[in-house]
Amino acid sequence: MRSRPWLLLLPGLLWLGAFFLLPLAIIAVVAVADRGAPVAWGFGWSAFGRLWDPLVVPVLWRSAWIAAAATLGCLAIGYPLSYFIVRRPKRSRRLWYFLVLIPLAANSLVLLYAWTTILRPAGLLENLAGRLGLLPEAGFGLLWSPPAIIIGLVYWYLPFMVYPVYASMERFDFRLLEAAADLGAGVRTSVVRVLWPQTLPGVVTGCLLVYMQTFCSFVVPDLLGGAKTLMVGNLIQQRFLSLPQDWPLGAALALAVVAALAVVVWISMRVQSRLEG
Amino acid sequence: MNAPAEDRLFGWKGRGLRLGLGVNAALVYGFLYLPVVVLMVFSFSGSRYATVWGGFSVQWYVRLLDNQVLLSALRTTLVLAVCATLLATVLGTMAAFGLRRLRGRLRGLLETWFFLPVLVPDLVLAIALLMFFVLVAQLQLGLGTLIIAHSVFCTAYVAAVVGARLKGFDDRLEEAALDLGATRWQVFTRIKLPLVWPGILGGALLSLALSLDEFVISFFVTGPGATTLPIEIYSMVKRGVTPEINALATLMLLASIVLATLSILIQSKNSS
Amino acid sequence: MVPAVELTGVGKELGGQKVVRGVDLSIREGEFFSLLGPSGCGKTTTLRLIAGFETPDEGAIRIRGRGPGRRPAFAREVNLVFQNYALFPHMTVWANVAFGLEMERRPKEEIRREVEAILALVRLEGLEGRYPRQLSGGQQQRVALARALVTDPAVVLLDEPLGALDLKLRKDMQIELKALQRRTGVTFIYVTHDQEEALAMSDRIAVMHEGRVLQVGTPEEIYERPQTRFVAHFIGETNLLEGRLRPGGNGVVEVESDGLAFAVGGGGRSSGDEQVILTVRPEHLVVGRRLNGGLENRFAGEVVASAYHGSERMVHVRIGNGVVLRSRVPNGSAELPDPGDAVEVGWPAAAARLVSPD
Repeated sequence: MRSRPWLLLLPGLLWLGAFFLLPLAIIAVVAVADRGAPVAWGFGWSAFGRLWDPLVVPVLWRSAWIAAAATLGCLAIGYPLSYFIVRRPKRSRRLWYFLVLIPLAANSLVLLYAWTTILRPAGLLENLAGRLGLLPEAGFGLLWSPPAIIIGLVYWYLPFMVYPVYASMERFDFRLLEAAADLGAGVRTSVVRVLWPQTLPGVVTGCLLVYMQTFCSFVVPDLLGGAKTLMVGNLIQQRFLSLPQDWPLGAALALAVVAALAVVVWISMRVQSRLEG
Repeated sequence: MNAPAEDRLFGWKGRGLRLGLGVNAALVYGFLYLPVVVLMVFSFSGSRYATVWGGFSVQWYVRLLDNQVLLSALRTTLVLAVCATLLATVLGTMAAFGLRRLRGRLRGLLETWFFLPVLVPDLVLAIALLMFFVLVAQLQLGLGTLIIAHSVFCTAYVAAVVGARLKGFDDRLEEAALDLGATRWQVFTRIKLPLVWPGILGGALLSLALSLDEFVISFFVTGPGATTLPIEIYSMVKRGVTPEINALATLMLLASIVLATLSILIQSKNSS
Repeated sequence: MVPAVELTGVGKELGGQKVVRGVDLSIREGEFFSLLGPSGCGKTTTLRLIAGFETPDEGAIRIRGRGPGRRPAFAREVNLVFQNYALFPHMTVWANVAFGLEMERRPKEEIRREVEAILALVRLEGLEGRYPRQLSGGQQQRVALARALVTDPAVVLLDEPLGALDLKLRKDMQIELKALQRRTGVTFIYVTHDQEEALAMSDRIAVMHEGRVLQVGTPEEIYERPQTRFVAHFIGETNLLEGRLRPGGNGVVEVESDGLAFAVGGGGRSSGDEQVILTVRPEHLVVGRRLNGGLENRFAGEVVASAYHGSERMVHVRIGNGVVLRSRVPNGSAELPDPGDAVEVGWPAAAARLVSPD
């Protein structure tokens, strides 16, 4: 009954092969090339040597922990939010869920720009706090600091957490909570010992997606972080687009990021298969 | 339904849990839509300062219409979004139909492959495409490279959306039509297309919305003369705040929300 | 007369498993024919082979004497009613029914006439403009039937079409289906795992098990004279006893099982000392404190259980050799034994049959 799927698949495969797979492979090639204008074709590991620059390592470290904080933030508000949505009546559930997804579809940097107007010194937040008499002398100093970046990242990437967690909660059989209660378990025990383990695969997927995306986010730290709180995304962008250009270093950085993320993915897939197996 | 399960099961503690969930949800939705509201409100402010309310005014919207730079950026953005969406809709729809006919491991593998452009961080895709265009393909950076770049991630989204719609397609409908004497072409035009059409349209609208808003990849692979609206907004933000941005951002946000909502509504159209 | 459908030595392998093996069937024109068997017995695959959605690995399938020829097999004059109806969800009742006629490029006026006629036949007038999701299960079922019947096919295949309906509706639809088949005179091939359904509706039944056809016959033949252990066990309820054959007198053979001897009437076989299986239906067993004479088989036993089934009671009696026999006793008979009672159980030799192991 089934005929010639390849005829249908071929155009897409070729297109993505040429403009997705090949470009990704180029990253590895350029990472071992020499610095030039923009690249001199030679072979060497010099770009990887430049990775150990005292200017680079702290940025990598900062990216790692800011991404981790943002992931935890997404989980902390995304998990109860998913629970909330999944317990709505069936009809309105879709609407609540779409309300979370819509900012993702409109993930324009105009929303980040709005955050800058809220967080900036003498911005909306400080204005409001000032009127309530809650503003410290020096202001909050939120914008251009790691907390601002974390707020921005949580804002931008929350849907990546809610999507898989919500999906796993929809599959959860809430009668299991009744069974737990029937056996004398309280709220906390029921949630921690029954709901949480059953939804853990969704949580792992969500954390993975958010961590990957936040780790090499470039726009959020660029607009909310400023020059003193660079993340690896800013570094890569600068090596490519600002002078002095250093494409091999940028490529090596990207490669290091991808490799680090691959390790994270691998570990969490192991965790996940153990959870499901 | 009677009392919520948590109340029946856990008494006042269950009510406490539900209260906590409700408060969290209220805060999160507030958090998600606060910037949206701020943008919209201040776009009607008469003040020159983007964060000070200066009475109701539509002057910033009027000024937008005179801004030749923005209007040309709007043109570029629209051309880019339409071209990339057309390409992506054709490629992604064909791929989704093809994937549906595969079986077993190969199918899973190729499905992942077609979805990979969504998963790879945009910055990585951006520099990869930049290097490819400059070093390998040696293309002049501009509208052409923008269209190719956008078509990559848009194809992935369209394939995913159409694929989801096809998952709900009952193969027996195809058999029933063949059984009643339809040809393969008739099966396609009379049974499959009418049923999968909402998925294709939904995928195309999503692709349009994403392309209109895309910034990171555009920022890297654009060239002189091909500035998109998000790039223009970025440089306006970097240069210094003018309230015109509020007006522009509000309009773009509305466009995205309308497109995304339409996309979701169409996708869920008689999907059961 | 040429059979409507003829299968000769048909075999099919799916996913490395032989799901249909050496099936021979000859289905007459105008017959209501059922393929009956448990799930996984190969009946649905046989149906899909006849419909042309699968091609046989071995053997041949002829519809009205013709092989598949050059047209694709599924385009033959055989229409299928799918298990879940497979109605086109984006088309109205009218468009669903008209679909097959349109594919045949019939004139518009004729299509209108035919669709109207068939909708009247299945009592769906007035619902032409509805969509499938706006119909009840029974109505969807009728649309599927109308769609399959309207092109006047040689054979209509039905794949467990009543499976999705509730019990009451199912009983009504059984009668309606049978009446519809009578009126149209179209050959029906009906796949089901429900033996009651097959017995109630069919002209003939083929019992399938593990890819083979075990027995073909009228409902009476299948029920009264099962030929194999599986058929006896699967159709209705029965008591099965294994034993050795011993020649007896007066056209009666005896089966020795665990030290007791059972008389079996009419069996032609008497070649001695053969391992055989004996079957006797519960309704042929009589239970009482003292049974009258005249029964060739009569054993003392103890009632171990008695289950109420509304119109009847199923009494389980353990006899001398430890075997438990089930007897169907109509309610209202005076004497109903309780568990623990000592009773006699008996049946005439003619009621018992020998069947072959599968």
